[in-house]
Amino acid sequence: MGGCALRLIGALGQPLLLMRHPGVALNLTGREEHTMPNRLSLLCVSGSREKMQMAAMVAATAGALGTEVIVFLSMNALGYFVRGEAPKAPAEGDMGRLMAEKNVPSFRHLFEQAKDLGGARLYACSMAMDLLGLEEGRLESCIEGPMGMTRFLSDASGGQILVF
Amino acid sequence: MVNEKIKVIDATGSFCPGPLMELIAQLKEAEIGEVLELLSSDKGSAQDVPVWINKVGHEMLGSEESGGVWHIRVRKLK
Repeated sequence: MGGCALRLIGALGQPLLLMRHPGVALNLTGREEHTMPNRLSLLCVSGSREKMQMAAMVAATAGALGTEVIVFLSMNALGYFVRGEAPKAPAEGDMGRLMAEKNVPSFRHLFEQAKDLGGARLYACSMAMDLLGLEEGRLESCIEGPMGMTRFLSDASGGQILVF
Repeated sequence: MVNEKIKVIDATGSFCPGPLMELIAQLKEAEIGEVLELLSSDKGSAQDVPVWINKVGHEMLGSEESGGVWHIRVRKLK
């Protein structure tokens, strides 16, 4: 999943070597030190239960650790954030079905906690909004607003991008 | 401290990162110096919550398991 982000970043001429191991820095003694990047940008596209859940967990936990988190919702992942609509996220496999049965916090709730407790910012892909014919007012209140791909990549630049 | 009031947060039955999120929400409301005890039945959270407490700079007071429930005590320092 990281490969897609690498290709996107590569297309914009960003340094690929730095992006390959964004969580690893060399300290003065030459030992590898594992650090959280200051900014983590999540690109949510698949809309599957497992990927939405994982993205929400990452957003909430990274935010709680003080990392700046940006969540870009596009493709099949945007529909869960439209007012008045509550589509069920399809499971990819057994884990997704199991999560539906157990007391796992819902990804919507986790994204809201990521915003309220960790300062994560959620944006709706303007292209997906155009395709769906969505006005900004139809987005759930946890969404900051629409965002284009150029601004997302520009804001994400220098940090780490994860694709879900 | 005698008769120190401990606020208990029952997050048993919730899965990662639910217990951590509950703790963070309650810590926001708490006074500096206050002690909170998080109850979690999630083993991953029992390992993760102390990492978060140390990382953000609160005081980890202890973690004990009893009957499949972890009791994690933390003092709010800032």
